Amino acid sequence: MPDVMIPGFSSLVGQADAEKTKSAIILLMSPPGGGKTLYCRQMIIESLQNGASCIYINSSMTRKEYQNLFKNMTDDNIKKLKFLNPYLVAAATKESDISTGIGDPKLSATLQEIQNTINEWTSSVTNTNTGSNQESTSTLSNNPKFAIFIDSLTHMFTLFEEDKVLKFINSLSFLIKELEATALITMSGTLSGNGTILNKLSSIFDIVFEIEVQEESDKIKRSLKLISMKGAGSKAASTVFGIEDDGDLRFDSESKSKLSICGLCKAPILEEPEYYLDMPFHSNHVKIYMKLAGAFGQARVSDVGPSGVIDASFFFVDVVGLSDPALSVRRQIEKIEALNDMIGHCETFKKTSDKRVLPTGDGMAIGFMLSPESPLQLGIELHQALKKYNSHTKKEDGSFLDVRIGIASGSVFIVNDVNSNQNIWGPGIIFARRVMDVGDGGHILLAGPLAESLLTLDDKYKGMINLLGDYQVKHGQIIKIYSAYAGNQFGNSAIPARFKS
Amino acid sequence: MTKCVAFHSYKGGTGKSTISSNLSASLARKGFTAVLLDLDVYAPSLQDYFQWQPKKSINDYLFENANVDEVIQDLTGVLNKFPPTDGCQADSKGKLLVGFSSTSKDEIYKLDGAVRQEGSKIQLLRKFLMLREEIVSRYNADFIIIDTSPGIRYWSINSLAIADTIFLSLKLDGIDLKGTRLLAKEIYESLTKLGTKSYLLLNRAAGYCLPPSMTGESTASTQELYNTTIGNQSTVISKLNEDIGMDTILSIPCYCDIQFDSNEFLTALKYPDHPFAAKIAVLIDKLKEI
Repeated sequence: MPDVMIPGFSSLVGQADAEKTKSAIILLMSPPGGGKTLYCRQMIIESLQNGASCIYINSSMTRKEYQNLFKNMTDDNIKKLKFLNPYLVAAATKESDISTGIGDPKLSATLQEIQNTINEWTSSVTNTNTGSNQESTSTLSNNPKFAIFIDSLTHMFTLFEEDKVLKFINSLSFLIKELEATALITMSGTLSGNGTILNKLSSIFDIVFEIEVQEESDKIKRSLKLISMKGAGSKAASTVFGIEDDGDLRFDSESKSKLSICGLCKAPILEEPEYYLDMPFHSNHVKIYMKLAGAFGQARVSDVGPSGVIDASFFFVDVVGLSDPALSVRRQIEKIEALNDMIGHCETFKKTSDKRVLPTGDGMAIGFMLSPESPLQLGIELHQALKKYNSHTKKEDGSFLDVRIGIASGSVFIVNDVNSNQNIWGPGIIFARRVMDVGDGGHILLAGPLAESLLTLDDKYKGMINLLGDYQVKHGQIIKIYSAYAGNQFGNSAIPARFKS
Repeated sequence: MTKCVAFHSYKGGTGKSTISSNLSASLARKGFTAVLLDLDVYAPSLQDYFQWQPKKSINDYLFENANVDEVIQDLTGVLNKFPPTDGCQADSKGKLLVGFSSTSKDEIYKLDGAVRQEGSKIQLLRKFLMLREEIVSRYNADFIIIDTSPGIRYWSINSLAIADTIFLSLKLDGIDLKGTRLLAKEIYESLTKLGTKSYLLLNRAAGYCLPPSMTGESTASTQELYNTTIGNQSTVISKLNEDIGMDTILSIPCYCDIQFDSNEFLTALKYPDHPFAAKIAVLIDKLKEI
């Protein structure tokens, strides 16, 4: 395993190629707010934890801001991290500047500071290694590994002349190659926007990444995209990641690619998996799975594995405005907990045993395996509970809890999550999400097929399920949407804002 | 390489526990490491058979309350109760290791209840697979002999799925024959096509008792009945073999001295000259060839 960790890299190129990459100069481009600095932070933390030493260069950050960025680091790790702001370093002497050939005293001083820091760390490791105790001698063959971060190049261009920055980067690249270190250099903007600079530096970078940011309803979706990698031909790949409240990056696909879960024992597969019906298995478990599936019968295959397909009716709910920056995290958590608690106390939830619950962060999806009436019934009960709850809340202080609900039916696959639990995923659940996304606070929206089957099932629904009309959702799909409401008892009789537009 | 053999049957009382225990002890006596697992989880009997009360059971292992070393008991010392005779040489390298199921009513209910919940069922299956793998790796077992629950039940199917070889023991009564055909069609077919070897093991077959002509009690009718029964038995077995595509690995007659011995315990070692011991020896030879 390399000492310097590149977050998300194994998802893009595979575990084997990621582990082979021992040193590289990486360019990371991203629009403002894409998460460049947090990506640097993640890479620094993981690399430090893996035994590397890191130098973080940021020309726009004060020492206090830097300390705040790494406030949760252990003392041992922080000793192996050096912060430099080229704008604030003491300028180098004229002689020193001439010797570096950069032509800027501060950039020359920064380069010298990098060199000095590395020399200091190297001599410290050498001294330790030449000591007499057993523990030290065990590391004799290990050279220290370094990672250098420049965050960001774009900001350096605002403080220093472009050709001097380029010379600085060029000199630094030689140092990095000599040390067999890894460097991450960030830039604001995109590949096309940075074309001129990139042409000048193209021979330096081994790997080029771009963070893409997309808005999906009220959420931001970030992807790390591999633009190019020397010696790897064209590897157009991307991996989605999220930023946790504590600033940590979470790569969705990384955990999947790293850890295939055995379809039988549900444990991670550390060796090469064997596949059966597109499911990964430990090599000694695939036949046992096949035997069990054969013996128990296909109808009960979900008892032993994840390949079952089932039809269910889905209830999708989320808290409206939970990601509002004005809302404190404590308040957000209160709202999620209140919603969970209310749903947990609804009769329909309590009395239905054959259901699957998928938490979604700001809400949940519940699949009811048997009755198509259950999702709407749960929606009505939840609204009644909310009414009581909100009688003690205020919109002004952010305590008012507003939810939107989408209801649909369809097929889903039974899949295994990383906690070895059986979960569901598929068109049925996605459909319910799309329906919910159309609504505003207070809406209980139903997809056409499920609403129509309820209307024919029982006359009581005729007074509460009302046709809104056709709505085009993602990918041009047109769905018929109904809204369930009854006076001020439940639902929202207003036309959803998205429907109007 | 470890051979994993499961004893199964349609009905209870076909001699699974007796034969599997005698087989395991005889294998140990011959120098093999035999691990006997009581997976008749709903009606465990090996604690009573070996007169052994383990501190930890397979149930504890499945629920992560014990590790494999706590569950697998070394009962090799039991073999010393039966000194080897000239005709039955002992190999001191052999080991008899036994994993017992809990006989506690609460534990049986707990296990039964847990397999009705999807999450815990998967955990239990995972631990069950680990049990086999740990036995193979930690004890370098030559044989794992599983005494399963009769019929089509969750733990018996799991046991059959992890076994390389299945011995389906049966008596030759009508219900057992019908049930055996059902098992062969519903369960065994899917296992054997994936490489599991399965054999019929006839227990309590006719033929041990002396024919009426030799006991001096012969009448024309009793002798005829005896001859008819023996003849029918052969026909029934041949037809069964043909119908379900399973060979008979062994036919053990109805030894009434064993059947009516309320303290039967490792007869194959205790009475090495008994024909039952010879049958077990044949079974071992055949098992080694599979």
